[in-house]
Amino acid sequence: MDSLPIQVNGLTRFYGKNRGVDDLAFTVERGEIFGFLGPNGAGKTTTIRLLMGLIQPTRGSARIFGLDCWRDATAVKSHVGYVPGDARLYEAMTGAQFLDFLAGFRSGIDPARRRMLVERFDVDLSRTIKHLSKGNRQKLALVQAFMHDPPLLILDEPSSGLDPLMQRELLTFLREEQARGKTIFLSSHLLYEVEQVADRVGIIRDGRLVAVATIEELKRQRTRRMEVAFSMPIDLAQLASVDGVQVLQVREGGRWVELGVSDGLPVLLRRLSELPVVDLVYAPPDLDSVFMGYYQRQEAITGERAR
Amino acid sequence: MSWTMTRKALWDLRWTTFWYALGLAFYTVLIAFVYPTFREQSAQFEEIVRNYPEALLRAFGIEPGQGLSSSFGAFMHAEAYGFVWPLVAAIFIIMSGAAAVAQEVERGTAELWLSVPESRPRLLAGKLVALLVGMLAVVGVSVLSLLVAAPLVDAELPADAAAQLGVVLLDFLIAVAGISVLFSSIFSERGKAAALAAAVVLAMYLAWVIAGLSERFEWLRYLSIFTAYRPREALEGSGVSWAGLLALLAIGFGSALASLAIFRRRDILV
Repeated sequence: MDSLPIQVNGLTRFYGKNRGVDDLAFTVERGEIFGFLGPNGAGKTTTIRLLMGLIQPTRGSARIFGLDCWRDATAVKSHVGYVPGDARLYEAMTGAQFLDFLAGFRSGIDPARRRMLVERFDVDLSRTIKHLSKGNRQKLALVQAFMHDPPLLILDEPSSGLDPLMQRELLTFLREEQARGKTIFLSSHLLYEVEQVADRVGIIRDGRLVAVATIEELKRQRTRRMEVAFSMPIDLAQLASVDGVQVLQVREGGRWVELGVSDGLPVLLRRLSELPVVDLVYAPPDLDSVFMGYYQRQEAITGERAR
Repeated sequence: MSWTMTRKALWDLRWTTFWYALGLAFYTVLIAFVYPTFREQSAQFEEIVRNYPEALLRAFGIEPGQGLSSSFGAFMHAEAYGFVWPLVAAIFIIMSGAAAVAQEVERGTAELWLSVPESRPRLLAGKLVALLVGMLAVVGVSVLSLLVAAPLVDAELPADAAAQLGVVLLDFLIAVAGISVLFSSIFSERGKAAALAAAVVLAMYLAWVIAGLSERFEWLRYLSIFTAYRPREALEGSGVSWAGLLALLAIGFGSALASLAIFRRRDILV
């Protein structure tokens, strides 16, 4: 297992004429938490299904620890703990039966680790799965992925359905697993979740990888929205001239402005303090703000080339 | 083959198998207890049957020339194993076989099912073994109930005839199971897989009936598994067609092998 945990090269998958993912290329290093960000329908789940050998690539390859994800799918899975997006479990089983069933396929599962996970994620193993809430089913899906202590975790929206406390517990657990040398591929559409734990992120949109960046780069490049209402129309040049600030929308004859803020916040706030501001909303960072940052950068590059 | 998968599949099949086995055994005993009345009034029954249209008799598995012999074997064939037993048992097998892959995909459990370090053919083979055990249970309980019922109604059923009946019934179910699992490995909905398997079995049944009614269409018998399904010979102790039984096994195991190959290569889009 000297090879990279994940190595994707020219990975392409079409569903008939529809594009699933197109020409993806990235690697995940050992001991890294790699966030895989993208809006719903961007191709995250398709990528994960290709990694898990559930579907065959149209072109290109995906490798896990040097093994081909389609041809060597059985061997790949002995190194992976997997949580599917919207995990569907066997409804007629109890939680304990479900874990026993999946444990039956793997040797050497430490009962103490299983107990620890069940306690930590507060999973009720005695009830049949059909009577469990979505959150409790998700916790069960997490335990089954972690219980055999695999070197690589592939998690598709793992916090889906969990309450905020449990979401935080999960992220803490992922950091601890990373400290134990585990590699984690974390797919999510929640920027704040990925930002808290990931070392690097891959951003996917419309089936294409937009960028692979470190979290610091990501934070630098994201653009947050700011909405400002004024008691009278203002001179927009006062705001547009601030470096890192872009005027996105103007309404009510110049009394309401939407800005894209990627940098220069202190300067912007000073300018705003001199203006007749009556209300201000500074949106938390979200995925759109990241895309906006990347699009603005791409537009700038395209514009410069055109000149 | 995966024993873990087999154990789970057996657990999933336990109640369906239990109720079908019990129901078919109960039906077998019920019919067997009608036999003394039939034996006493066989002449009248013969008369009634003689007036039935040939097509109707064929449809219920009765050879028009043979009529209703007063023997226990012929009676059980006409009333149970010629039509009702294979019909009910085929429903059990079609529904269970069609669930093998298609239901996992339809219910979305296939993603976790296929996340374990076990090859797809081994996982499916585990389920097929469980299905075979289910078939053995249904056939075994039916044959055993017939063996118990026969002396109670003063009828004779030699052990070797019962064993041969068991082989015929099991072979027939293996063929039906193979067809069902094949469709299950292709489709992503259990209902669609079951409907197509049922349509193929029904088409084979109709082909067999038509082949018996017209010399022009006699060739159709070679397209039907019902040609090789001859429980009457087994029940009457007149020997079974081993070539026919081998053909049923070939269809069943051939289809199962094809389903393993298809499942190994197919995309799983939950």
